[in-house]
Amino acid sequence: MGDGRIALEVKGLVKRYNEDGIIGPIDLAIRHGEFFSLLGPSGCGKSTTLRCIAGVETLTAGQIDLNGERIDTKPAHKRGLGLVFQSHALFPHLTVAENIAFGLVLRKVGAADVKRRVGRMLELVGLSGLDQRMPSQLSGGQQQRVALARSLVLEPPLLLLDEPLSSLDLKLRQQMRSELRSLQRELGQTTIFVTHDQTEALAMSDRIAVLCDGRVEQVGTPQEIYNMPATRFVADFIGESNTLAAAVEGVTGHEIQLRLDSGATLKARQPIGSALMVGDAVWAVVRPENLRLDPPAQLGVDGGTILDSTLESVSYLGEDIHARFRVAGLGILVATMKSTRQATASVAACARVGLNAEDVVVIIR
Amino acid sequence: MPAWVWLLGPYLTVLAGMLLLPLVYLAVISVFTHDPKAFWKPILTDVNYLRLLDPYYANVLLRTLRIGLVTTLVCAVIGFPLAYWLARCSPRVVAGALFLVVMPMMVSTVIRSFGWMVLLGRNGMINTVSDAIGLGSWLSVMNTETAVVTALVHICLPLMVLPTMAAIEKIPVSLEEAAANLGAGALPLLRRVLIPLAAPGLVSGALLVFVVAISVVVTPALMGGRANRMLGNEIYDLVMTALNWPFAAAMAIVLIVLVLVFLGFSLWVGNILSRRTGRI
Repeated sequence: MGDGRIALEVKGLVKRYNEDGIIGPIDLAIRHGEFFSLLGPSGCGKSTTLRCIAGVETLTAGQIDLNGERIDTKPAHKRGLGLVFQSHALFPHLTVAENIAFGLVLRKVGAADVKRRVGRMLELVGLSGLDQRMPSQLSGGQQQRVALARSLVLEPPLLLLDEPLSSLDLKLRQQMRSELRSLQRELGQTTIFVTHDQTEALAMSDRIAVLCDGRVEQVGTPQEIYNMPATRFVADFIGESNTLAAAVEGVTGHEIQLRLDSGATLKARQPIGSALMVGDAVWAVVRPENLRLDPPAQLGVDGGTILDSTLESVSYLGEDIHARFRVAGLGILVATMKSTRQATASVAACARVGLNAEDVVVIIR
Repeated sequence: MPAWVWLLGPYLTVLAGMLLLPLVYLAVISVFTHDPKAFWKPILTDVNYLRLLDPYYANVLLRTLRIGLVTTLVCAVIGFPLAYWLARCSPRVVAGALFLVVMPMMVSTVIRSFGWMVLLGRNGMINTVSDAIGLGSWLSVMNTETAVVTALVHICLPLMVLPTMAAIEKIPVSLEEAAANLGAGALPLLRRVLIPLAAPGLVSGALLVFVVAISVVVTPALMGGRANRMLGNEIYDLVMTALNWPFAAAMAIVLIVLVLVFLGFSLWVGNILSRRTGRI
């Protein structure tokens, strides 16, 4: 990854549609060489943000700086950013080579140089020999590679990917995911990647911004986003989680005592950057894989909690097992584990579930 | 026999009886000898075609061709931006705008030509207004080729706009965005993306406009005066007044050949537009 300098800065971006739609204000800072994802459900404003950066959409308010230079006042064709569309948007009347050469020809690059750079790009994306094909003769994955090559050949300071993989089928998508990532690493290409697929974002990104309803909910590494969700939305959207209503019962330094709605007590850490006080309402979030089955009594002594439970249902998903437990006063808790023969037996026999104090993430309600 | 043959049957019968047979008849009498008493005598001759090389008729032929080409070109230049705008604006606006574009077709050619005469004539509205505000009667465009082309563009514009609009509608907006993103301003976008991809529409539009423009009778008669007669006027007079049907038939055949030549020409241009611009 790059040297940590900021490549792109989005400051207070606001985009208003018609009357009802508004996105922002959004603030983002993307570092050099970083693979940065905008993740969120459809309609959260991630694509619009990307399109504002690219200049195919104008912002209502705010500012966008690229390497310290303001770009939101420039038209799209003068920004020099690479944009790859979900629909690929290849020019149907041009061959693969001509598509890739499009930007170079506009920049008046000499014919020999164009040929050399197009050839190198074709090799990079693994399409050598297909240069004279028309886009309609290519498969979805090949078209995607041409679209990528067409942007990369211009060596843009920033590559913008607008759900480029979601038009591909699952196998191909997984393959393209790792290809795209290794290509990005190889070139040190600063990249913003828009997706609604959390697996994709977690697998590929250096950092992720989770968006909801036109606002940034949290920015962080995949680990931070997954293990320390900052809001209820992030906790629910990224992976599965057990979100339990609780109240703060006591505060001792960085440690707080929670009382769950069922009456059980639990120790946890203060959320980063906040000082909760006695009586505050919070969510206690526990990932399903961190739910302990039939925990030892020591767990309660160490600050965790043990809850009497009854098994509701078990789903077998090949590699994993999902088990749903009912806990009086708390509703359903979900546990996931690797599907070994041993696990299947212990799920069936399980009468208590436990929460480790260190696995609990506290979110202000 | 499959059902579609039966469905096509009536149309094919009409086509054969009302178009193909008269066409053959036309071709045949165009090589027959003119006879004032019986319209034509079945004696083969090439005099009808050779007469088209007379300076007067050659001039009419050239003028017809020129007016047809200029009208087509002007329609394309004016029609493309209009078609683009129509193709890209909201469905609500399209309904109204399309009505405005097509409306001139609902008024007879004679009335439209009279409208232009009222506007452009020596004592027309433009000159009257200009005179009243002290600028003098400077406009003397009536009875020129320019007047004919002006009226023809007015008549033919919808024929260019409609197919071009249909072609532009099929170009995804994302292609324009991609082109802009790769560095294309308005002109490169037009030259390298929009025109090549809209070429089929432009070609059909050009064909329709050209066919209508070279075969008009009323418009040159009213707007062009005696000095700007086109093939249509000559054919009309030969059929109705001079009763020289073989010569009229020869002219009609030439008109048809012109259309066919233009068809080939515009397909060739369309091919260049849609293919060559992106070549590297």
